[in-house]
Amino acid sequence: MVTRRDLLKGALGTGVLLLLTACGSQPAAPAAPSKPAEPAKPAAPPAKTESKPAESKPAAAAPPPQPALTKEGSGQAGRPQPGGTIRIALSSEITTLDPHLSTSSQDRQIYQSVYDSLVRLGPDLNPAPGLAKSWEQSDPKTVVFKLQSGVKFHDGEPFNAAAVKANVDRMKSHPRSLRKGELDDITSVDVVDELTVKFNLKGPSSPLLSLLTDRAGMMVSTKAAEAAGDDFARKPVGTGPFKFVEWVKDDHMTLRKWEQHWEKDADGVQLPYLDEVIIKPIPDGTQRLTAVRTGTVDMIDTPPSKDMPALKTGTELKYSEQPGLAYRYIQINVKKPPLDNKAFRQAIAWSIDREAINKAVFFNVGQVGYQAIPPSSFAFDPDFKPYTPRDVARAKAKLAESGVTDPKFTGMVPNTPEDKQLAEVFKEQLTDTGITLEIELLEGTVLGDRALKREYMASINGWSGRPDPDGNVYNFFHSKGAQNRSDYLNPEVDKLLDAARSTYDNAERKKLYSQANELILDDSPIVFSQHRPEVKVMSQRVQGFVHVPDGMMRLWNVWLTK
Amino acid sequence: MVPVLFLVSIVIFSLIHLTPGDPVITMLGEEATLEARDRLRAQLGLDRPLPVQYAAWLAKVVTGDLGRSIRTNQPVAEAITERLPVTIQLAFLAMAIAMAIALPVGIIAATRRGTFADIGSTVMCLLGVSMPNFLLAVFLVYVFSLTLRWLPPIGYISPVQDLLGNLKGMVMPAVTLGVFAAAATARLTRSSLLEVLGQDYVRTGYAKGLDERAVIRRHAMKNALIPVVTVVGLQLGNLLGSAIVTETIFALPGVGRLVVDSIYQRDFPLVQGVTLYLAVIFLVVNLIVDMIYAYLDPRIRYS
Repeated sequence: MVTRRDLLKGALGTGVLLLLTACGSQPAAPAAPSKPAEPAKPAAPPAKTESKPAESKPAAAAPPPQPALTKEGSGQAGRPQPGGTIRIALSSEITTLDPHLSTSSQDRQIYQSVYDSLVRLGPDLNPAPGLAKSWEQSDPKTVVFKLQSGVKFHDGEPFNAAAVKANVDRMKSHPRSLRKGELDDITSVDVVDELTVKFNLKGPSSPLLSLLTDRAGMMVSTKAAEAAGDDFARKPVGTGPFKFVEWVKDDHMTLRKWEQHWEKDADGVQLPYLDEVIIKPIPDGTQRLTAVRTGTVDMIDTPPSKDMPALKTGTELKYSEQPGLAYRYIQINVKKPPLDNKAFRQAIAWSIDREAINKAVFFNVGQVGYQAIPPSSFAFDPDFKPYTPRDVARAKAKLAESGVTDPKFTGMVPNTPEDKQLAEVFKEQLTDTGITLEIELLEGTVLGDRALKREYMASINGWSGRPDPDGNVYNFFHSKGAQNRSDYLNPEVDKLLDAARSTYDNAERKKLYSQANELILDDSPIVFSQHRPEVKVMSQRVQGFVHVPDGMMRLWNVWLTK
Repeated sequence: MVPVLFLVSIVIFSLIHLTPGDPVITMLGEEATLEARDRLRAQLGLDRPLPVQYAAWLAKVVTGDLGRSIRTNQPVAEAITERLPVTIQLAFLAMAIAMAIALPVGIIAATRRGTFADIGSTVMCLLGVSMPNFLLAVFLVYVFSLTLRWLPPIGYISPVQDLLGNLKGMVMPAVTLGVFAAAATARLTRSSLLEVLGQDYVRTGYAKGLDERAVIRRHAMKNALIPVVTVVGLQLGNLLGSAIVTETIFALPGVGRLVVDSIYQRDFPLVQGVTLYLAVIFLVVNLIVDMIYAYLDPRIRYS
């Protein structure tokens, strides 16, 4: 009864499907424009003493709801009204609800609601009190955190110093932990008393506090995590303002207000204001925008670049923009000839017209990128603009100097329309110098795999960025950096970046990063092109959203007008 | 059916395991030590030779255990059943729309051959077949969501929860999918019916005084439908598994998106489970098609 036709149909159908997706020709890529699978190295300026002025209300450690930085100036419309459900659209589905095992930067959007971090990231990228209401450094190798009192996990377990220790131990010992490297600077954690915990460090570590604002600082109920085992990825228990209700993958996730959340606003009103949060993944950018336009959702992440200029001037929706932490680049494998030749790499850097790229590919919505440090960082030097303006004559001279006879290389590109377009512009601009760029479109997973195995010449990609400069620089240019897929090694740079890690003085750090930048850009293991802006679009009903340049949706202060 | 499934399972298993990309790297990130990677690989059983892995997987599948997702630990069977209602509703709604358009258009085009109606339908069908469905989707959303505000641009609501809301959400995706199927089926209906209409027994029908409707409905259509049913069966199989573009645009939690996401994450148990499900769907639909043949044409008998 089974004929050859049946067999063919079945095999063809599934085979074609597999092939199609393996080639990544579908727009349903799970990766957001900012690339996933990055061990985070965020950070923020130094830890010093009490960073929170004493307030009369004991539980009101959180800053009062701040107006969102929207074009209307103030996002406030009277006193916050508690209640209501906010519906949010993200650009892709998250991968796991366990922050300690998370590989995708998108996951962090949810963690901000389900979990609290020890330290919070302020809009100025400085650390602010979170679960730790203050911290103190008795010496460069010790940080003592004072914890908020009366904090409970969603399962009713108390949050205390022992919980912090258990979390750090979990991150350092879980066989699939992705936070191990981030907490490398911590040698041990001591429980001083119920609400005091001491971190013992290997040495001074300036990025540590900033790391604790992100996944490495997210406190899970270790008891619940142990009980759930691998299921914790779908059944999270934190202390955050919202507790997890349900997750139907690719459809929606529901979070509900945690009634016993520890935080109150300046008027003593219990936070969060919202009763419920519904998060939907809408992969198609235009559809995401349509959804907020039609009121199907209230707030979206990252509209398409092409729509940003109109949204900026429109009045129908709230548009909030921050200079992002991300950057776009051509990462070069400096071990592969002819790219092992410094003059050749410089020829590439001189060939790129960054202004034109920002205009043609990104509709002028981003900032032209010259370096790894994001414009919102304290270490950013606005006058540092190497390889600008574009100079084809110099590029040609560098090419001649390099002595490369066959100026040709292959660049891996993630198969998304925007990345492809960017790669094509690079290709065109390099042709003017006489350099041939061959574009190889790959699916994200394969691209990551090849980069890791160093089976590539150049990679045209992007980095989602970290609040502390260390996460954007050390990661890529230190010989031990996790993202240093260039295999770049400059002992001088290593020394400068190590030094920047071990001082808590921001002015000093800025100087060190500037020195390192000069050397890095001269060696050009990476050619920079653009900083993408961080954009959220909201309906006029959404109030009180504090937009931090890291782009995470922090919802405890958000409320809706009726 | 069983030997076919067996062969298909081998093809699925080999294809996904031979595709470049390592789930261990996706899960552990780039910073992980070689040792940590090896440990996870061993834990997931990925360090064993492929045939051994296949045998272990098959042994479980035979007992109905499709395994668990290596990313979220969700049972694969649960992940599939979670999405089946969406996919089935979408596929059948699309098919219903397609049939409702295709059969009348095909019949009219065949019986009024060469007239304005025939030419018009040909043009429409050509348009329907050649327009990429994402374009149609964008157009529909622009008209019905953005301009008229009649329909939500995205999302799925369970029909049990809110039937009207469910239909509102499904109409645009179903039309997007159905138009292509309708166009292809209408063309096939037309040519197939034309062929039958030229045969002797149809002339006999007219000769013995039957009116056109009776000839077409009782005699001609039954024979003309055989190739149509074959194609419809194939299309239904396709709709049940690979409406990926449509599901992505309208953010529907269907099987198509599940399979794509799981392939991107190299979630092997999930990919294997879902593709096996797709193979079963194809086979079942084929079986049904074969049974319909026997109904339409009594000369076809299975023993």
